[in-house]
Amino acid sequence: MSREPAQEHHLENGLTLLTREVRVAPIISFWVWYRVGSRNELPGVTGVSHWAEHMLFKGTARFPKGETDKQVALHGGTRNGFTWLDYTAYYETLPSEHARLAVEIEADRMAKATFDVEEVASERGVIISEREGNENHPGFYLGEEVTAAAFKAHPYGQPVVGYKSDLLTISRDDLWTHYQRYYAPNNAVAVAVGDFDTAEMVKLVQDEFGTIDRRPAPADVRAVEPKQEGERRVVVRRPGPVPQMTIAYHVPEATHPDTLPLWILGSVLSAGRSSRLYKALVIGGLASSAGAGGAMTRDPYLFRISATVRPDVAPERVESAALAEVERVIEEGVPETELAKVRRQLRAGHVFSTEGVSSQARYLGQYELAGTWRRFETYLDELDKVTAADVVRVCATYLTPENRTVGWFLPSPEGHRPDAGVRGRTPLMSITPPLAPTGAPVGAPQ
Amino acid sequence: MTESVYRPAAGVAVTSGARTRARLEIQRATLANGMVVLGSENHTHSSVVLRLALPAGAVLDAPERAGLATLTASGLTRGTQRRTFAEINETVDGAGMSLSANAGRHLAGVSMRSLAEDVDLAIELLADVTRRPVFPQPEIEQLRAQVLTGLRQADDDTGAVADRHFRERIYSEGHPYRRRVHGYQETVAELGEPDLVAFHAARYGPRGAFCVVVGDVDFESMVAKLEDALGDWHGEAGAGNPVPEAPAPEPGQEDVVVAGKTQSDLVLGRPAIRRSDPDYYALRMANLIFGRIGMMGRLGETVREAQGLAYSVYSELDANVGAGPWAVRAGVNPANVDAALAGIREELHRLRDGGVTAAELERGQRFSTGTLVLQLETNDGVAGVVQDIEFFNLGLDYISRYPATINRLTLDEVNGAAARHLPRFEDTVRVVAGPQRSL
Repeated sequence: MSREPAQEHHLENGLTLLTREVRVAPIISFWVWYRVGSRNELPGVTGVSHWAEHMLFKGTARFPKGETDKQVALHGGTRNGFTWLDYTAYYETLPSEHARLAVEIEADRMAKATFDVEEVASERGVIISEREGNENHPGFYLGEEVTAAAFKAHPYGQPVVGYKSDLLTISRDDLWTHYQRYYAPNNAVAVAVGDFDTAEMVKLVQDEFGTIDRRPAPADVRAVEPKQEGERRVVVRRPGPVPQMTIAYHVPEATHPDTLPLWILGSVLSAGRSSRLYKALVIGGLASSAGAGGAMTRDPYLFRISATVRPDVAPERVESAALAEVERVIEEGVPETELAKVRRQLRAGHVFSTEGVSSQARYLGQYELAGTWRRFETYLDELDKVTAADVVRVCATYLTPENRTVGWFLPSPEGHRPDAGVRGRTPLMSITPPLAPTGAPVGAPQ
Repeated sequence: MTESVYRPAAGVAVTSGARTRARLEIQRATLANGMVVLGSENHTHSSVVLRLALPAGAVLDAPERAGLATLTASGLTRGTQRRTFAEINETVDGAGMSLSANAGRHLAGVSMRSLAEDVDLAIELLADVTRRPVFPQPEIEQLRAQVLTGLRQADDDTGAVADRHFRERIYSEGHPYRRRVHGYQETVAELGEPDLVAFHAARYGPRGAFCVVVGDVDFESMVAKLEDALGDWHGEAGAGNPVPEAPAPEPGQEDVVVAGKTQSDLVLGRPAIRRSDPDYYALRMANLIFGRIGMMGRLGETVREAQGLAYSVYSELDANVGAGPWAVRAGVNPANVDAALAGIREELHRLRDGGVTAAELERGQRFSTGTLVLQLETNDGVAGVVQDIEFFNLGLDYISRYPATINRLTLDEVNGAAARHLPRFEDTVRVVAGPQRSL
């Protein structure tokens, strides 16, 4: 279905603004994306990007604490913020007659936050609670260990939420310095999608953001992950219900030409119940779920294959079956009919996932932060140009034994099931389960 | 509480006019066999959402067979008289569609999403899996093993464990809301394909069933196609069971230890009201203000923002055919459980004793009417509202009446409903699931 093209605008202070008019419903979604995430964090302050995001809901002189929530609710909207490897983003989606409110909130957030010492202390408990909630899920430990093992030089190996030891010690000044360094118009991308007139929206953004000063460009992340020279293995042994597996392969950054063939490979392996891993692992009676795919990142990241193992199945059978499917792609190729099916899945998925203005704004922002928003407009056509040979080639190039980190969550003897182990193999890295949680309330006024 | 008012600056209009009132044209038709079809056309995206819902949900499960309704629903897509499981999967994926079958507490159903150009195939498939499933033994065996793995994970999940114990304390033996919708490891392990065949024969039929079609299609032609696919479906199966009253439970607190956990999940509450209760909108408004709007309402302001104890703390009101629970849920460090409970207690009593303020009510009203516009933006969102309209008999003009329904709520009504239906802290049931706590 045809739609208005997106447009790119630039303010003098370096702010990039992407707009797209969508006059379907009287709604607008307004986002600001900052080019900062766990990728920019140094050891000792992991989690600082995410914590700073929390602090940016603590109010300013213009919108005292709680006021933005009240105003957005009062005008029938929703809002949120989130942090990931490459970015920290904030948005409001609300009736379009209140577009100005969203722009005002975000302009204020960029320049006027105060990072009150007591609010930092109180939020420490909330942040640690967020991490501890994650820790209740076995898959969180596995993800953290696999990612850490896969990267030895690049900060992508660090958890976005941060290590608990860092969350116990990060100071107000760490957070403030982070804010001063990265929250600048020249380090941000604003995205507006919905029911507005583009010229008026540009003027509004100019009025609200135009007075914010440019800052020195943050130092670039220079770390480059060296080529992996052999399989790495990690095992997490903790109480838990069932074994879980993740195999992670290093793959290139989003702008690399091999990214689209890798997306198609992910779909060949795991999109729908006719996909190869679903058939081999789930219908094959080995796993209750299986997935595969990469992410869209600025620097080279990971393509993962994962599965939740049925309790009556030896874990090594799942690993062999998953790796056999990778080999089968390389040895037997991908038939044209299968490729056509996957293209159609991706095309339909694109239609389904762009129904709402929030979703369209999110995609534009994600693509821009990983390279260029224009890719979002063109990738369906690019997908049509990917050949079966491309898919086989990227599979053979990246999904190799030397390039993989295999991780297992194995329920410990203390859990529901005796250690099933990955017998006959000695893990290169073993993980000592974390000590019991610290009992003392952290930073919380009692 | 200080209330400052946001005033848009004059002279800048970034809008094509104030027209945020939600509108939705819903059409309704009846097939020859009595099945109802509801639809809403939306030609802005070339996609369609199709749902078939019928009264074959988990409330029908006998306690010792909990999980049968959901296993039967999931089993619909595992093979029919016309297609094997593999053929269904190839058909769905080949068209880039999605197909899922599930049962909730009252309704079971099949949901599909497709491109508009594939809607004929989607309707035929929808009818096929609903009417002609064969529940083949190997596929059902594999499905059951998948479900059992999920249930094993649920028994290790502090939130799910807390909810299980909570329901077992707030509903008496035999009450259908006592049971987990997906059942339990011990009940599902005993279910086999003959059980699914029998449940389908007894409970799947046109009586009480309805279809919802939303998207880039013409309603009249959809009705004709559904008539072809489903109009000759007959049978006496169907119609649900009434849900008994839920008397106030014995209050108290229970601690459940789950090995290897860092955080405790707590749930606090008791059964509240039915969806048909005249106090529904007033109580829902009180609950929004108490534990939902913005950063999780007043609860969030206290337990998260002031106390710094929890990332997640919120309240929910599940007003259904019967009185579902009103509950507060939170995840906190085991050392902070008592402090969090104290914060919740204070807020609950402040609400019951002092009520909400006029400013909070106004914000709640504008939030409720405004977010409805947001919900109606997607076909899925519309389908959800239309399904509720039919199931709860809200009337086809529900959307257009909704702002008035919300805006006429008075402070007295909202505060009265909170005082009548929300328990004193001492009258609640509280369950804490997580690491061993020193008590």
